[in-house]
Amino acid sequence: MPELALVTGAAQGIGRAIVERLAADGYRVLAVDADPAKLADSEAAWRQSGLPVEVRVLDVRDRAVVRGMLEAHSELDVLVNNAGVSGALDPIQKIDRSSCSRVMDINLVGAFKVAQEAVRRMRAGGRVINVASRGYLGGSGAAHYVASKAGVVAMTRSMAVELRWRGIRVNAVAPGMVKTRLLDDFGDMLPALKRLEPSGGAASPEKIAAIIANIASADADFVNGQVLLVDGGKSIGVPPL
Amino acid sequence: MSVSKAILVAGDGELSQAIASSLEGQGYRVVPISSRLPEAVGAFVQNDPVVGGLVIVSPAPARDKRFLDITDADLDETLAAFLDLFESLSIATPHLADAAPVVYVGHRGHLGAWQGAHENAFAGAVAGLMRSLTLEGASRHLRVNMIATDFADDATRLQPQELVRQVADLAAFLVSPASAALSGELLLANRGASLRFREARERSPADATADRSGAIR
Repeated sequence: MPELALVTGAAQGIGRAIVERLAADGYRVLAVDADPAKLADSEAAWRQSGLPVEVRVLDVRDRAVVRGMLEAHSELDVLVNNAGVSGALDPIQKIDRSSCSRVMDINLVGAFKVAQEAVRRMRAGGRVINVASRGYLGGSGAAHYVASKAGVVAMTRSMAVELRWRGIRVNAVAPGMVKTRLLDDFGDMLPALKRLEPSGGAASPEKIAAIIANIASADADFVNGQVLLVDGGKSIGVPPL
Repeated sequence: MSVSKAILVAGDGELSQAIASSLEGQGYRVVPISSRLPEAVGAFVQNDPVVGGLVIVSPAPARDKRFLDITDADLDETLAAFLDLFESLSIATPHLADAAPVVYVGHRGHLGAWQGAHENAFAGAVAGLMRSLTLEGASRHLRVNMIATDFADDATRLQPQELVRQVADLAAFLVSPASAALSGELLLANRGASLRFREARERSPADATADRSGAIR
């Protein structure tokens, strides 16, 4: 029986690329997303391509639904905790409590709940890959998003410390600029931001998916508790938290 | 910076009192805050629109829960505490004087630790928040730094009174002009214990036996 991988935030962008890469690598993929329309579009494409993908509309904040879905499967091998929202690029004084709460609740608390429920279904050899962001190192604007991703990195480290005794590896990938719809949020600033990238632009979602597939593979079975910055080198020189 | 501008010191424990005393000894006007942070900061800036500095002390948690035993209520409580901090900084930031110091005293959970994963995750979130505040406040020369202490149960922990005094002195240093070159830093106040990769060895023997069985729970 092929291994089963759960991917959250699967309907578009990096998540969709992860689903397609893992399916191509031989996994059965459980692809979940909170957006039913986008998930239906992706499902149609996956079905047409013959990829072994099962889909489910799901909000990562709803633990009962996550648990119920996973109880239908005897065992889970890989979790890619990818679901997230970006939040407005405002300075701290313009971000209100409710906006901050929504970003933290989806990006960090939701990821935490999904990770707990997924790990309950894992045996030794399980892998968790949390998708953070280069932004976790800090940035001007969207401090709530930065905080949420820094939280994902810290969660990754603590999960790795505890779960290694169960034989479960936990790592994070922190992408830099990626060609997804989130780039539209930058508006007129985008060309200037691209010029700041040492690589000259944004990575394709497939580049990020390839790194995640590698971390999920047996080739990386000595990689645990790490945060891999996939940003073309922009973060060189920035110390870790 | 004029010493007449108030330094707000938030926290209701022994450490925050020691920091306040240390700052007062250096001639600062200190306003202690022990009630809920957003309301207290909001009330202060209504009367005094310029804040000379901000010191926030968050006690190290008990760290007594395994990853799978952390409940939604635990997560909600930790999120609420983070939101209080975020809201307080959102209120205070426009009122901070140019070059004002902001010091947050938390714990080393952001590096990852055995048990208390929810508290550790939010310690990481605070570190990210403070780094963003550093960058956003750079044009006004705000200085934002953090101190991460050990957990209360760490074997290498300093004696309680010694720890309080040393961390209080460190926080007072980060408030003072003597640390003007520092901003965006996170100082581990544990006498180098982190360099010993302690977390890589730490475990409960009972957990190790049970968990290796691969039992799903």
